[in-house]
Amino acid sequence: MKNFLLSLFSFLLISNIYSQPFTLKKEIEPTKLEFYKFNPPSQPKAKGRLNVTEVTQVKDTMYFFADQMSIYSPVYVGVTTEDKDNAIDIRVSKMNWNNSDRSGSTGNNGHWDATFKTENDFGIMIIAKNKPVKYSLIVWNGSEVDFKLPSVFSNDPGAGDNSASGDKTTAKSGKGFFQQNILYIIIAVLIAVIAFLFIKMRNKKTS
Amino acid sequence: MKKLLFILSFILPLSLTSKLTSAQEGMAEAIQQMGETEIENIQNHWEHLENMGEIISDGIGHLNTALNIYDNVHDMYEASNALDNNECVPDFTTDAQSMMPSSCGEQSGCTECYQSNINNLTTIRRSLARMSCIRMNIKKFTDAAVAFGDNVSGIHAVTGLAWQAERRGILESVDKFNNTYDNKYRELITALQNALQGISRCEAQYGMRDWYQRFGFIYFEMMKEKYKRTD
Repeated sequence: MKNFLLSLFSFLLISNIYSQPFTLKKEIEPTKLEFYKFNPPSQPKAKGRLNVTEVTQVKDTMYFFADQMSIYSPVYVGVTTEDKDNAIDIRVSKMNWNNSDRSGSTGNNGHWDATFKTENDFGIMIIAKNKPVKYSLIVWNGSEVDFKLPSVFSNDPGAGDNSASGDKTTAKSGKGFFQQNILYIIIAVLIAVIAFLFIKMRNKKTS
Repeated sequence: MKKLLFILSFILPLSLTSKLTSAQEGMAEAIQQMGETEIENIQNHWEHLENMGEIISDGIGHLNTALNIYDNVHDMYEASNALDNNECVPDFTTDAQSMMPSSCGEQSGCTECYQSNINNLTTIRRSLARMSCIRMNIKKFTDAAVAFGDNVSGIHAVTGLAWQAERRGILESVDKFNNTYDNKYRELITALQNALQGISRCEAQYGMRDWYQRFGFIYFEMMKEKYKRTD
């Protein structure tokens, strides 16, 4: 299994054939964000990889990109500015710099952040209305989450698949009695209501 | 002494990767990425980052707040949407017809026999789903990039020539990627078959005979088709 995981890792490296949103503009030269392993003892939830960048921006727009993300882990992007009166705009893009997938501004509180999941890479575009502006850019990529997968067993053994009952399951196992029989319950309730009304109407007619 | 070293590490140039580029009146553009040592310092002084400067300590404080919204990282992950609405998110659904029965109940020997095969099966399922998503994302990306380049290249003759070279490069990379995908697909599918046959051996010992031939095979064929590259 170790060998197999290693070979999967080599696949992930090869899959990294593009490492930033697409552009034909040669003047866009995004800065690659360097990540380091991170595991603070006092905040176990922060285990993963971290990049902290301090920027003094004198241009209208600056571009950054992060890569080697895993779809099985959460990503956090935060921008905090020193000058709360001069808000900066942030755009996060996956495929193309022209189409942002998340956007916002540091606004009056001097901070903007977003949390999402993605595979491999994404780009961050920072637009400063008033220059120069100083800010911190923090990108955190959590460790892969060991979530449970939906069971592949029709009679979930319970003993085995510690990966059963995921969020996207369509498998029938693991659902409660009510969920499995909801249609029958609704039909039974409807029949009871109709029968009740029928009897009531019949009693009215006879009286 | 430790504290002094910690403070010094931030007073000294922030990082080896730090770079100063173009200068403008009064203030130069600067991108200072923290290096391994600085990140280690944040890790070890997570709750006391006052000496790092306001924007860094504030920024880390906001990350801490975001993490504390959730009980654990799993909840954070579940609450997060994919960055791109069209991005592939791994799909682990199994249609009812391909599901397999299991005779392994509470017998201790059976559970032990099952566990390693089930763990392998889970790892393979996760890997196949991720690999398939990477392929779909790359396909979507290259299709969009090629379409975009084809449209734009018509505007100017020089751009058109440069684009043709770039286009060729993109398509060659995709071919290379597809070959790698096919190799890894074969490797994973073989591993899947081994895991299912392992479960079958446990079944033969504790439950039903010919489990793989009767049930495992159907699931295996479904998975083989699901992740096979067809383009």
